[in-house]
Amino acid sequence: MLRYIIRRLIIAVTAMFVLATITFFLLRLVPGDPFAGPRITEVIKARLRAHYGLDQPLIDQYFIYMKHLAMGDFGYSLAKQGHSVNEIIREAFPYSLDLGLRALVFAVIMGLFFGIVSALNRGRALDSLTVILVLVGISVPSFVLGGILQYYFAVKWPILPVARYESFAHTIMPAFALSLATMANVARYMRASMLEIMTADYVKMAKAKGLNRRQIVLRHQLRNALFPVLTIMGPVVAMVLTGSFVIETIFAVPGLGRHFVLSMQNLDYTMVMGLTIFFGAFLIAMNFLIDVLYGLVDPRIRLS
Amino acid sequence: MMLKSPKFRYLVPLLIATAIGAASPAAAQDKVLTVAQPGDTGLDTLDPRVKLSTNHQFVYIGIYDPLVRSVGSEIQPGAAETWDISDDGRVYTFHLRDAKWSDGAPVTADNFVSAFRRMFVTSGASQIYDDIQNAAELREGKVQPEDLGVKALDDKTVQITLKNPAPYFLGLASSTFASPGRADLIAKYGDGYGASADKIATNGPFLLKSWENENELVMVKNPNYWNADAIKLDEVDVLVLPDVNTQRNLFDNGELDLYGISNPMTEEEIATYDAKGEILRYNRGGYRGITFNNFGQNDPKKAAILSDPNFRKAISWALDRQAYVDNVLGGNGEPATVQTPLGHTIYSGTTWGEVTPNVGKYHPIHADMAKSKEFMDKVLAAHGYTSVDEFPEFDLLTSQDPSNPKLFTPYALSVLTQKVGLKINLKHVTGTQYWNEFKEPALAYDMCITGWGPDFDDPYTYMGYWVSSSTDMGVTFNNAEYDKLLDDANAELDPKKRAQILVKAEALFSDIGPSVPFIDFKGVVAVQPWVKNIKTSIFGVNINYVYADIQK
Repeated sequence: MLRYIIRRLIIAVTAMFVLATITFFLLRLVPGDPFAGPRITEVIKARLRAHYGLDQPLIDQYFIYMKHLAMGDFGYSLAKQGHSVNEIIREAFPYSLDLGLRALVFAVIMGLFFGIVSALNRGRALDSLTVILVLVGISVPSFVLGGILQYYFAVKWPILPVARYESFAHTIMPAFALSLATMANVARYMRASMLEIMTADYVKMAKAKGLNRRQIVLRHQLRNALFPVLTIMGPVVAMVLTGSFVIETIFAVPGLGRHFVLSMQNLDYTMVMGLTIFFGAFLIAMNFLIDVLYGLVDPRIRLS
Repeated sequence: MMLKSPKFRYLVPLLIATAIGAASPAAAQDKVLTVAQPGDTGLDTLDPRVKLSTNHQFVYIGIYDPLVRSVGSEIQPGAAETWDISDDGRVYTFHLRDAKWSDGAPVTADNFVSAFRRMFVTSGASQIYDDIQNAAELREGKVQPEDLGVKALDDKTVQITLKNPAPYFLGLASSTFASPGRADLIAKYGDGYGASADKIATNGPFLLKSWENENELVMVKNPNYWNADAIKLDEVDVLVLPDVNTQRNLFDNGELDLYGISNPMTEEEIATYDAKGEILRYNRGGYRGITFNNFGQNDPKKAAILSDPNFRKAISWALDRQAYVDNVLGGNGEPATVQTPLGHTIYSGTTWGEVTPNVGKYHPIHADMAKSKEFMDKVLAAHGYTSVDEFPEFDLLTSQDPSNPKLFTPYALSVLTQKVGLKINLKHVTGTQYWNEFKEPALAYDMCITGWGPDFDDPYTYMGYWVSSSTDMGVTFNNAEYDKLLDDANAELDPKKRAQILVKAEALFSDIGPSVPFIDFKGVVAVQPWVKNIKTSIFGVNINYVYADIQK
């Protein structure tokens, strides 16, 4: 297991290095200057470029950046002047993480529940209900859902706060809106994989042994059916926990999601780099975690 | 570096459902104004020499006290108790009152001098202060900071010498860009100065209590402010609410005191709030129009057509300003036929609208396709074309700026292609890209959807940046006669004669049409009935909450 982990770590670091290098140079291919503005003259622009070291040869900039990156320093944001990228991520990420965790826990529990229930009631009303739910969850965009939730549950029937992230009540609507798509996906995968397993040999064997239905479902079916669901969880977790532009905008959550969009619009080189690397590292870490979890779910993997 | 960590009390497992109230609610009797931060992000810095948007100015007016303050259309004392203007209108001497910064240091003349010097080295706002002696020279690095026409005669006296008698200069001095700064703290914190609540000092009517950049900024009344008696609010909460619908929902729930500061309201919204008596209308500056590139991106064929005044008029006469205002904006705007909105003051007690005879003379309020065709025929004849189909394709540059009026670009595009019959390549880009392409050195546009907001209450703010030497706003217009008229206006001390010179300049400009005006804004904001005494201004920060009161 230790060797497996070390090998995975080496691959992860290499992947991060490649990601950082490609992003660094690709970003500079985008035409334009990050300091453009309605009143910025050429002289002022040149001074700003020099201040941020953008007047140096690109290859030098790359080495300077990589050196700082190796020490965990993402540098200063070009658009949010006076703020380091580390500081911006440190302030925003906890909000996205908090919101994402709530959404994720809800999505996984409810998704598994609906997936299992519909598989066990295949073809009946409960199954159809789940299919509808899945369709709605996947196809309704979050800005529509967020807007509808906000209007009905905060303005028309004021039982929840409109927006902002201040108390538990404030977290309910954004977490639900964020969770719906994931919940639908989890339910879909869980249903499919439960159905697949229902005819597997070991389930038949369990039935033949005379185990009751509850024992079969809980002990044999569930554990094996979780496998495909686990596979999709790596990227899903990374996506949900690093924030959503739309949900955070609608509910005024000061999270990370907004920065992903705005930094690119502002041509904020350091911020785009920082976020890309942060997200990349997070994604790799999540996938790694899932790989370790595979081992727990399926003993066969530990051997190879 | 010490960091202010966000309020992070709620990272608890989901299923432990405990409802916790908001942090430190103000006492019930406190007068708290809650407003949305204009713009779609939080502020990054509160250093007026670094960031210049009206979004930033919205907070600057609360925390800074410039030499003078503009309240409504009036100039009132600020950090300066009194001031003298020399007879030739070129030397302004400001006498500072005894005041203290938020950290206890006295406010000195040096705080202003150092701020102005720094402005010309680091700030994009510096161009609007080019009336100051040696200002442009300092920006270009041709003179030393000591040579700038802003001097400290002693600890309490600031003297500003101008190149020419600019009658609007007090308006410029009242701008928050000219707020004092702290050279000692800039030296101490470097780039971090102004970026967080603990790395800044303020001298205004409000103190910065807390500031989480992307979430909330809280100002509380400054008990030591010289005019503290006039400040009724105990606290101003500025919330970052990027979504306009969210703002509206909060306003409808009574949790937000103002609505419609950052984005123009729809006519339907205006009607709804008007019925409840919650609408405040005000005189607002700024115009939107189409700017033409004389150089046609170095294509001589395009340049010849684009710089032909008749070509611009052919387009101008095809634009139905009134129909657009009525049908698209639902009345929430004014057709513009000259650059300067008519509500601006030209001299004390007189508006530009009362002086200028140019309205509707060079650009129409209603479209007239016969006239448009007449002008276009002249263009065809002059450049040897038989039909507009033979024209090259033109680039129309536009951005997704939320302050642009609704559907302006689609409307302009439909007129250009369907009514005028041009071939147009639409370049729709993000804000930063827009400025990159629009301004020098790129000038990567043939026609561009543009706008301008006033920096002070005088037509000159709409005219000054069109002189030949200008590098601002993608200007490619070079006209010696126009330059001369503006120079003459600057040298003229008699306000009525000056007005007549500016009228001539406007007529000349409108006739050539390097930028075709389209619409002016109507200032409308929704205000809760318990909020009293919101001041409005035609320039800078339109909505001024500093002297507001809450009566619930």
